[in-house]
Amino acid sequence: MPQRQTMPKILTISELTHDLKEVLENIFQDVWVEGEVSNLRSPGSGHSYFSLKDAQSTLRCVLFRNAGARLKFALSDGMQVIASGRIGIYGRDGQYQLYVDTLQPKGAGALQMAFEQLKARLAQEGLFDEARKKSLPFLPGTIGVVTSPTGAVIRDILQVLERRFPRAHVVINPVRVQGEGAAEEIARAVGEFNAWGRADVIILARGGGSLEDLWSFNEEVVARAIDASKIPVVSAVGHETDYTIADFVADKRAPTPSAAAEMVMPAEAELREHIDQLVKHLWRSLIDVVPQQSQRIDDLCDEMRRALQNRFEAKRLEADGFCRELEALNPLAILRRGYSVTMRADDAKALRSTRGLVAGERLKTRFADGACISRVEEITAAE
Amino acid sequence: MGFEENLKKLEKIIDDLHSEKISLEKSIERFEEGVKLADHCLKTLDGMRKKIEVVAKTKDGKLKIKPLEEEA
Repeated sequence: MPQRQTMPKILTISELTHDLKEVLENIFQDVWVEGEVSNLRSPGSGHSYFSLKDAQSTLRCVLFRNAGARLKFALSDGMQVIASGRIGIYGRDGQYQLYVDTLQPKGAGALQMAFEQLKARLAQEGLFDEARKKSLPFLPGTIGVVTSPTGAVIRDILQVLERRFPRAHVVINPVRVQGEGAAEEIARAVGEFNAWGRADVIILARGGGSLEDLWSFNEEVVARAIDASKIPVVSAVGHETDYTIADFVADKRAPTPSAAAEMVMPAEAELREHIDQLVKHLWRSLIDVVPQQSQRIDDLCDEMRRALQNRFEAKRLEADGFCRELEALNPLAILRRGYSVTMRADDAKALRSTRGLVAGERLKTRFADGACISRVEEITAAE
Repeated sequence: MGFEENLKKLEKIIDDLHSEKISLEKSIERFEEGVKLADHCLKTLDGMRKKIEVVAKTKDGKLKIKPLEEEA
């Protein structure tokens, strides 16, 4: 028997592992540890396996699917994180590892990181492209508002609308704007307006708050719903300085809910004033047209008169020409210039030469104003 | 509703009327058209009715829209 007392107890591997497991798991139930993610693997099971390391040591970690689904950001190698969980021993390998319960990026908050990651991914996909943005209707017949049915936001929106266009038609789709499931409600509300099809524009609104409060508007499901909306969406989430993913995807971002209402609805008084001005212009242009047209008629008359006158003048000149020509041809005209015609008195034949003339012959000389009879005395040749 | 289109057309008509080329007959025609458009725009504004409603969710997932109960 004493032998038996000195004999060490020999354990099986499984027994030892089991004992270690009990001790370790009892002590390290809630561990917080920081390190760099490395060797990350995410097989089809949905669980993730990775190591956390610092300069000297490495800790194996398991992130089960359920815990992983709660992560707001995507894990990647090289990321500095703070992990919490329990230490356990995986019996088969005899390896201790951290079963991760929560994980957050070191430095920037988890939400901040999730925001940046989703923003980068959606930007890459083109969801923020200007070309995808729809323009807002000029005068919306029906305005859909997705927001909390109580509180300052809806009151502000209704007040601004009342001031700008007292007879606006507003349909409120009430949703929770923060907390678990709020994002899904918001996304569904946008979808409902699209299915209903009678809203001309949708305002997505929420008052100011912390990043956590505004978180629903940073969720992908909301971004997708806005992107899929055929109705233009104006987002007005938080204060002027708050930017959410919804703001980037929306067709227009308003700094505040009141500003969204202003953006969506023109002021009725201004519209009426504008129409008034247009009608005045219209009248003025018609009034301008009449003198313009009568001026044209005057111009035409003048032109016609001028054309006729020119034509008349041309004809008259032509006629004068003819007259002058005729005049030139008239033999009397020659006589008028002082010439005379000599004929034989007997046969009144005009003499062109002295040939055949004999002294004593009777001649008749025709002048412009009469004639005389004379006798040839002497005939001489031209000198 | 074409409110904006009507306004745009009206502006175009005014431009056209200022053009030298338009005939008198045509300008009177355009003017009448413009008056009608302006009238139509004003009627659209007059025809709008104040209505504030809330979407109520029914069990079968259909939208039911009912008037907002104003807070007292």
